[in-house]
Amino acid sequence: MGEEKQPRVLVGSPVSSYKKQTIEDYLEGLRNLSYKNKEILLLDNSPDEELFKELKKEPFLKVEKTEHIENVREMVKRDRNTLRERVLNGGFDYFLSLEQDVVPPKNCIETLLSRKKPVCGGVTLNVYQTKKGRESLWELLPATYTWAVPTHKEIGLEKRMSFADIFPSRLTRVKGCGLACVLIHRPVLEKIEFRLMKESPAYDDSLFHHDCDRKGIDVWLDSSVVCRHIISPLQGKAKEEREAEAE
Amino acid sequence: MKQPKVLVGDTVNAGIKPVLGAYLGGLLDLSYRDKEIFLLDNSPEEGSSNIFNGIDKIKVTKTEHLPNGIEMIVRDRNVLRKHVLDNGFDYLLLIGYSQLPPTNVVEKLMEAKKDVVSALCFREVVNKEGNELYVLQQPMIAKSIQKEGKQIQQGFTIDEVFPSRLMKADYCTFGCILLSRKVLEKIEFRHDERNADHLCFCEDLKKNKFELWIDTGVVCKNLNYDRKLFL
Repeated sequence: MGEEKQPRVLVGSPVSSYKKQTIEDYLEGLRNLSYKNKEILLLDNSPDEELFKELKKEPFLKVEKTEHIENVREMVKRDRNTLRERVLNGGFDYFLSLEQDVVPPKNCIETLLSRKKPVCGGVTLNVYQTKKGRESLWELLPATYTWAVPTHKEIGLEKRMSFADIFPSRLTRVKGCGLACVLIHRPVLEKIEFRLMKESPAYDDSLFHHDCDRKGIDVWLDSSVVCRHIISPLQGKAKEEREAEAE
Repeated sequence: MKQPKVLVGDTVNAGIKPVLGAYLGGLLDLSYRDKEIFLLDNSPEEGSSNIFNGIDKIKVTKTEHLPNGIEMIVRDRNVLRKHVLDNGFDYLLLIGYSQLPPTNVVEKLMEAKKDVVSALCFREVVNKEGNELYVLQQPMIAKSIQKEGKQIQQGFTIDEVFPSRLMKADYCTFGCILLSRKVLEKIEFRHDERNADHLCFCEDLKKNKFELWIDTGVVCKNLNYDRKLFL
């Protein structure tokens, strides 16, 4: 792919000092991204300015301070819409949503772009409590959803996918895959704004996928792009915790 | 440019019937063209290979069943090794019957341009801590570490194998591994009193100064997940 013809990608996310323990690994992941024609923009909505001052020192990214508000869902949605506007007004072709607790493969953008899909995510794993009762069952699963009734997608009910559902590595159509590591083509953002619903506790990421589904926009998962999810308790710990343990 | 010639295979037996369909389907779906698929059936039952009749793209040879399973598997894997060396193959891709690889596994593993490169395979591990059950996915690769004056194997955690990339390891299984002819010319499959053939093989790689690489973006599905449905 010639550099002059490479699509222009905005990589970004809201960030916060609430997840400060992930920042070092997150920045390393951003720094290592091999794709050339990109800009990185982080929106810091922390209640204080400490993280913002740290991020300002990083020459390879842009950071803006946004107002901290009590309603976290509202704040994240607001910041994600700021990123959406930057894509639309800044002449970007794609938005790579890369959340603060995720470390992607170095060639993540190239691989997801090569799929030529309107919305294409990488895999992030998380720990879910899948059963309650006398014993709790905690399971490491992909943060990815499919249709509970595939023959009648219009019903809209979803179920979490398993390792057996997403592997062997391949491109698979999914109902949703969060916004942890997702490449979104500009025309999708022209049609869909990040939003919340008053009557629902859902975050903007699941409503984004819901809106894609309703507007007939296919969402895909590339399970050859597997990210490290920094804070998942069974997967491992943030770098400083690992180092502290090693000492 | 001429594509390298690849022999794909492993040992099978009648006991794997619950996963056999998916396994064979996975072999037949491989997109790489210049390959031959060769399975060695070491089932105890006479006529077990009849199950493969009609699958003309897969060559199956019945081998003698031995009471010592590991000895039998090593013998059969050496048959595959010899077939590579005697018939001008450039690579051997071993795919264990519990694994379903990506359809482009040959192409992806070749991209690494390494003599030994494995896909990433998992096994499910259930841990109990008090009233809490944890279902984890254990990568089937390990490193060699020094602990209390001894060299021991320590499995990689999920946290260590992702983000997906090409990484080095000291040990892996034969779940899905691409071996160059150069490696097979120097190393025969073997086992010893303490170690299965994959561990001996990894030790022999070190002795012969070959590196073991894992492409953690090439992830197989463990067919035993499905097999649970039959148990």
